[in-house]
Amino acid sequence: MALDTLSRPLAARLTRITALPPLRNDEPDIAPEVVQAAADALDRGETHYADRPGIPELRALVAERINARYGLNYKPNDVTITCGSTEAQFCALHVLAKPETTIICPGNADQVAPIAALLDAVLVSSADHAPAGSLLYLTPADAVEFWLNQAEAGGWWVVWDLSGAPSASGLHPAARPALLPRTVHIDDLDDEMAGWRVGWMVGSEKHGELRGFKQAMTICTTNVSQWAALHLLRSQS
Amino acid sequence: MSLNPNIPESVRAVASDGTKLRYAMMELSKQYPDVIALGRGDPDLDTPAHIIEAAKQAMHDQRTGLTPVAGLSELRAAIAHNLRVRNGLPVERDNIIVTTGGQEGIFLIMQALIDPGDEVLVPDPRYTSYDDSILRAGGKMVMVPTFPEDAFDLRPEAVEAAITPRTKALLIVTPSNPTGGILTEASAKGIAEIAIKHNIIVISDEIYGRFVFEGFKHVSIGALPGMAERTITLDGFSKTYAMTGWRVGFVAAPTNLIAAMTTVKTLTTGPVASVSQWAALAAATGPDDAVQAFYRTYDERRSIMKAGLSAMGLDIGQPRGGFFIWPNSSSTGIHATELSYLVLQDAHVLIFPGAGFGQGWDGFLRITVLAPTDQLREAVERMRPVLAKYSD
Repeated sequence: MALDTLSRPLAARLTRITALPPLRNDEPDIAPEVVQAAADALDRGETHYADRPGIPELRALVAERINARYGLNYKPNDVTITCGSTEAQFCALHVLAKPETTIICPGNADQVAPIAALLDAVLVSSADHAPAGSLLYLTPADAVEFWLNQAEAGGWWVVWDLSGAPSASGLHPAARPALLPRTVHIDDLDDEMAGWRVGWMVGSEKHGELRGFKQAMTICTTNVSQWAALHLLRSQS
Repeated sequence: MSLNPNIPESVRAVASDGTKLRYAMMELSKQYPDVIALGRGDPDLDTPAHIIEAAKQAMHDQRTGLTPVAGLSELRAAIAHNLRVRNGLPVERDNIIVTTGGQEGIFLIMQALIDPGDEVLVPDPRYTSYDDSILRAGGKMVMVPTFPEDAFDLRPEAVEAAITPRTKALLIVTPSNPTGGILTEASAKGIAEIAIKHNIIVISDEIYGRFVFEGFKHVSIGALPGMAERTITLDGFSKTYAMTGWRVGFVAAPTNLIAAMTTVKTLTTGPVASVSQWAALAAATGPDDAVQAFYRTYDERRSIMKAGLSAMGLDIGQPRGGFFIWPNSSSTGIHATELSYLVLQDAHVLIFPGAGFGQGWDGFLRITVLAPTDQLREAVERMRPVLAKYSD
């Protein structure tokens, strides 16, 4: 049978993936007003392709919230809405990490390790011998200040992933001018509505490339989900 | 034909990149509030009411948590059932993965199949969004010509002539985007023989498969003898049920490929939005009346546009399926990219130039029928003086 043979590189990579990130099963009930907002969107006919980078209202609100929390100056056009943070993580790593790129992941690598295997990238947990052009995958659970100093000195890219937990310290890599163009901010609404698949990636000098890759994979994020997410974020604001 | 230097730089700069050219035209069209958009393949019709209601019910019932990555079991089973009944494909639930639109399906297929250097045969002209997925997987595209005199059916001998020792797969798109051509039964049989003889995998994109007109019948090549084990079928809900914004597609393939695609999908996007999957389940299992009504609507619109374009002196060929008419505009003497720009600028009608679908199609236009009949008539009326003004 012709199809018994997978792509050889993919087959090899799959053998290196020892575990996949677990799917969460603890999603809370969606608030009735969020459900109503989604139903209203359907009644308005929000069933067609959404704006490819995401609906403008949601992108504007995401930028506004990040700016207010971290003192940054992102514009709505720096924001691309993705199918959960999963798509944002994959886009960022796929665009920024070429085969053999060193990805430094100081903390939990559940999400990063299988993607690194898929991309033939080199995953490490320490800064030893990490070359310029390395990619630092950082979460608020890591020793942020230490790692940002390393990233700045080493000329690394930073993927700043807040999808697991927000930054309690208020630190943000993009607050450092040297890291602003090399930082991709990722977040999602998985704690509140994981099954609706809404996340985002924000910023960096390669944002156009990131957005282009997202569009090549999925065109746009589910329209009604974005309206539900917008209502949820507004209610949190 | 050369490109007039007076067209905007935003179009000129991307004139050789099909996908970017189409997006550039869409961006330009935003400056005209009264634009009639006959460019993008997004059905203007509403998602049928019973599907909307099913989605609302799922939301009210809090059935909105994450689903398995390959999709809701009920949805996969329903898709498999429909493919067996409607298309004759011998597939079961485990042969199905639900994807974030057909676009992700293409991406996952190429990731699962293609070794660097593998050649993928692609009909020319083509929807250039395939390119990115093939190239990112390390594949090489080899064009298979199609011809107006065949109504853009795929010639088996043209397929065979393009095969080399590096050929891994043949992409079929039926009905075709952009030409509206279909794979006829005779061609399908000929191509199946060639695929078996040369051990080629066939990727069959059938996303417009419910909309075949002019008395022709949709053919799923995977249903032909010996083809099930070498065919990957791509389809989705976007076009059939006017559900583009819900982002639900699917792939039918042998189980080992589905397993590999599921692993990759776990890392690329995770499961499709659950509310969309419940909506898709209602589409897959509900009444078919709406699709049949869509069919009649599109058929009427095709008649209007074909008559209008013919009256302008354009050779409309023989479009047989899908949402598109692919007229030959070379009689105007104007490069189709320039003509599309002039039509947008002067008539406020968005159409796509042939260059958006491959090299060498500078004398063709892609025009959709995805607008109400009064708008289609209005579009024809607006375009007529523009073509008269600028034609040689």
